[in-house]
Amino acid sequence: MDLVSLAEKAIKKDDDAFIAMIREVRTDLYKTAYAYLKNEDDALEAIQEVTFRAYRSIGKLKEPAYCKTWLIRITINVCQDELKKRKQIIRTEVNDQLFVSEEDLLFMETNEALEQLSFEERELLHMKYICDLTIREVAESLEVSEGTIKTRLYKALGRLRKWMEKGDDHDVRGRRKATK
Amino acid sequence: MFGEEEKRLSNYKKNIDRIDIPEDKLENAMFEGIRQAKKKKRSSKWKIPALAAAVFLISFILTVRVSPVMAGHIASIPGMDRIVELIRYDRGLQSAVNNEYMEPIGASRSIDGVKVTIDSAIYDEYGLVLFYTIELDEPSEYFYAGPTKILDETGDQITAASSGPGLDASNDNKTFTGLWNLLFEEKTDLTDLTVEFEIDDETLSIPFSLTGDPLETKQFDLNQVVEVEGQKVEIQHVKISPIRAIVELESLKNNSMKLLSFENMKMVNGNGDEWGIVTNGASASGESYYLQSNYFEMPEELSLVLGKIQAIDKDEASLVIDTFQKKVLKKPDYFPFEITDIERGRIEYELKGQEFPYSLFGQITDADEKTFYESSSGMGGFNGEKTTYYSSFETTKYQNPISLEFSFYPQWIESDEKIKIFD
Repeated sequence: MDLVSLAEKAIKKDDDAFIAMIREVRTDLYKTAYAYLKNEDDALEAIQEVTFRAYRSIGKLKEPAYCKTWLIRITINVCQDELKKRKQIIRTEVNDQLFVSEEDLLFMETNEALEQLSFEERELLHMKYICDLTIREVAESLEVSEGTIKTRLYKALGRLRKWMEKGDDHDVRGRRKATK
Repeated sequence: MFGEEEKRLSNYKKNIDRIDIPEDKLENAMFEGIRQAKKKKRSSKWKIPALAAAVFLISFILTVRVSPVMAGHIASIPGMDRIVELIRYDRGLQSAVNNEYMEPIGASRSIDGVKVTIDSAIYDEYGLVLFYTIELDEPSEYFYAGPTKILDETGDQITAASSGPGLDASNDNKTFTGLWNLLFEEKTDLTDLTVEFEIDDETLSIPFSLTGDPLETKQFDLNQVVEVEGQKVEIQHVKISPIRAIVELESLKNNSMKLLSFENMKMVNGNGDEWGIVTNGASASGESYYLQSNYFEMPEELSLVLGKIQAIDKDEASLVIDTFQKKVLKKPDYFPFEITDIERGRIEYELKGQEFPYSLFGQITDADEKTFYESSSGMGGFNGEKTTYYSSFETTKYQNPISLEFSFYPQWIESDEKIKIFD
């Protein structure tokens, strides 16, 4: 059964369909949680919380076609809540799993820049570039026009560039400057 | 115009895509989330009783060969069918039930639509086995709750090693049966007790009283040194009580090998017939080994046979790896395993051509002498060709290199000497 049919059934309180739906997308949800929280235990706890929130509010999902976007947004919300709870800005410890080669130094830099963005900016970039959602999907889930999403994306990328440049000026050890 | 930024984001995504997906844990997290969502109150933290599970797995594997001897006879007593199912792998408990050495209790308490009843108990001077039933208002496929503490009449916690098989669910997922097997460090008088269950971060206390007198433990002081292929073991005491037999022994300090696990220690009667076999396999509490007892059928003559002992040279007793360089720095001369993957939080290895149903490692020590344990370990079944194992220690901060101490190893010394306990 495809994801949309599963979501339709899940909305009607079909537990098996709900479970199948989560199974279908949980790799994406886990990656999202990992990108935000940077370790397995916290990411797993986030997935538990996401399942909890999703199960309780599945009735509010109006459009089954956007269940994946909906779940990703819940995940991002859960992660943001968790990060807020930690209060201070996390000095990201990049796990070796992510940090495998020289060229991945760029990863750290991108990650630092993403962490400097606002909640909405990071969410948008995450949905578009990490979860590979289309502009249309993002627009539908945020209930704004595609034009608005494009504008916001444009702004978010601009801010990302700014932070990457800053990163180069400050705590980057001998890395080349980002090309403009 | 944001080509560079987009490229970086795409590179970022590639890194994220590379992380390991812990499928089993995700499955648990998902079910736990659903379970909590179905309840009114909720718990804030997610826990897996991993250690408990590991302990059970071991005792389960090692005792599976015991056949259910009395299922037919006892099953007619109401509620007994479930108890029989729970103790199917423990001859000592079976024999206790057969001899009606069991006290009915029937103490119940409820919380949030969950009713817990302590049905009955089997106890002796060193241990207590509680049988309990949990009933739910609403069926739940993924329910888990269990006892966490036992308190004496003054409210002090009684120190005990505990174990018990997972809950056995009824067909409608509303009734769960479990047993809690407690082993006390010393002789303990049991009268007025309170057992605490943890149910979604809420504590449910159930007080109950035991009225019977436990049968006396039969203790035999051997204090005898036995040599097994050059390694010396001092057998100190053997204690036989209705629930279990305890063998206390010590591997002498000047042995060249470290003795890891007595796999098939057993007791035999005068005819050489097996009377009790080891149930815990691992040296979980230092040098005490627990055997299934057969208290109610004491032979005229009883001997102890140490059997096969997993052992490794003391200077080869750990595997040293660097998870950053992904290198093995030190391994035993005889190392039949192939290490197939080393990550910061996990190693994988496999064994070909022989079956060895134990995960290898115990304590881990890092370069700064900090010690920790693996957070989970497991193995795939032997498929006739090889077994695949993994050991995770994912979020622990440590300094490379790390030294993983062997708890189990496929190398044995063996003794079939009959050490007389009494005659």
